[in-house]
Amino acid sequence: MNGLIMPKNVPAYLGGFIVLGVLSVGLLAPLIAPSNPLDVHMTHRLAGPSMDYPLGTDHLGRCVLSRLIYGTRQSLFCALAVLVTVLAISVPVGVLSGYVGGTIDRFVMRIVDILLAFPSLILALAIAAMLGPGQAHLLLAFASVWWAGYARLIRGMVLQLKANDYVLAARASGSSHLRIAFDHVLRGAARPILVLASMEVGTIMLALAGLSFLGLGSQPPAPEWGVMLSDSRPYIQTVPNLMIFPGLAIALCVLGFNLLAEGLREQRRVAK
Amino acid sequence: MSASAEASTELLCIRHLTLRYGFGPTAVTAANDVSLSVKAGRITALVGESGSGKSAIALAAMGLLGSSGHVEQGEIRLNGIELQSLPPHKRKAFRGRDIAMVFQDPANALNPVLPIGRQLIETIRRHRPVGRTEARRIAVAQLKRAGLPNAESLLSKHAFQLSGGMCQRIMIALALVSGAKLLIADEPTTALDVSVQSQILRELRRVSREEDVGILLITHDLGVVAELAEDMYVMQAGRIVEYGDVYSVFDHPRHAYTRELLNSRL
Repeated sequence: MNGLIMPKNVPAYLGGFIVLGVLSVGLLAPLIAPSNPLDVHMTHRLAGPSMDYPLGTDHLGRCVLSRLIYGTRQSLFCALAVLVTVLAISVPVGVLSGYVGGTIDRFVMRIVDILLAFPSLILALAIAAMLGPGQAHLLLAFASVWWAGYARLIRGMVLQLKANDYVLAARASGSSHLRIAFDHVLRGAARPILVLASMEVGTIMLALAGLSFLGLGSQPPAPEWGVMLSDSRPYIQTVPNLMIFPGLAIALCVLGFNLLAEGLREQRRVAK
Repeated sequence: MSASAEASTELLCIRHLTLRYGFGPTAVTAANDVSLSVKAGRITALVGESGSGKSAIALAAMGLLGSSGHVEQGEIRLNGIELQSLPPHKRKAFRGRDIAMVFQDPANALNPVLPIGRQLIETIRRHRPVGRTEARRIAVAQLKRAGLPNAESLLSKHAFQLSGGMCQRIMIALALVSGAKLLIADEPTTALDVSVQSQILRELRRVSREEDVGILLITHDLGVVAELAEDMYVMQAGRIVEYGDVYSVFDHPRHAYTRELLNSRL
């Protein structure tokens, strides 16, 4: 943990700061949003920034800032939910495949090959379209595609860790396979997996916003950044700030997570 | 103890063991009709060049040959119990409790992400019905017996914080912590500095004398054999070519290969 205190690790600091900020904005949304994100004021449509609406209003007269703030919840927590689901699938599958090997490994890896052969976003799109629009469906579609790459990566790490003498030593002292898989293999892989996961949050957020933009995720009137971008499309020339602010929010969030991941990776490298 | 060596019990007895890696026409024979025995309180060396099948025999005795290696024929007896016919979970019960092993590279034989103490305590609790504090006490006692300084503070250290010699002594302590009476030491000093080697050899001799442990010492270093072992087997290309007590083999090598090995020393 000493590495985090070092002033040298600016990316980790900055990223952590942004991520923490975004998280707390999401958690405290009802307290800090100036107005209800769903309240429609047809008299104030497409207004510029003012005291009442710091970032202006959209085509239905809703407060853009409030929608952005509430959108944090949707975007961020959805991305985290996808990540948790992905890890919940890929970690057991990857460890099983790598540790047991043989036929199971070949079978699992061919499934992974199939999933990886398609562009994952398009596959997620197809599954989401099949299940019908909706946040939960999107989440499911995403996780069912995204786990494959992780499983492959984790399998690779497991293969490498498994070859260590201490695994053989643990076997020689009578450890069970399950115990070795947890104590010696998974524990060694935990940190790289976490770094990778923190790196992926940004990517997942971006992809989720993209699918929402296409109308597959959260449905209007729910405040979601991708939906907001999509809604603002007709006004790109007349009221560009409608599009700029959700775009900035997404960019900032992704930047925060990437910086954090970069910082963590750097710290790992230094620690080594 | 050493005085009663002649009458000591046979711990490990291997008879006509043939090991193969792989199947069919591409199979490789790692050991061919090998017989050897290890007695309590005695150090038995298994000598041969790399690739002669020494380590494969060690792994077969442990039941850890892996997926492609298998015992073609022959028997392996541990304390008189035939191991080959036992199902895997029964064989597992012997590992650590009756038969233990230390490896060539001590730095890599300890898990780098777990503190030493946790690895010791886990191993103790796997074989004995004791609580965490009691296991900790046993671990400290075991490290002290091995002559390691500051045994208490060692428990919280990680492998990379210790020297190779320290790690190997901890490995020996770890291997014997559950009361195993047979220790297989696979090239235990090869990865260490010469000055540290003698520490390890002394420690091996101590556990053999004081704790009546039978040691199968696998090595290609005849200097180590001369220093430590009482009996020796010479292996070449999967076969035992010569066997006897160390003095007679060194003084009167009968097989050409043994003479070659002896002449190849500095």
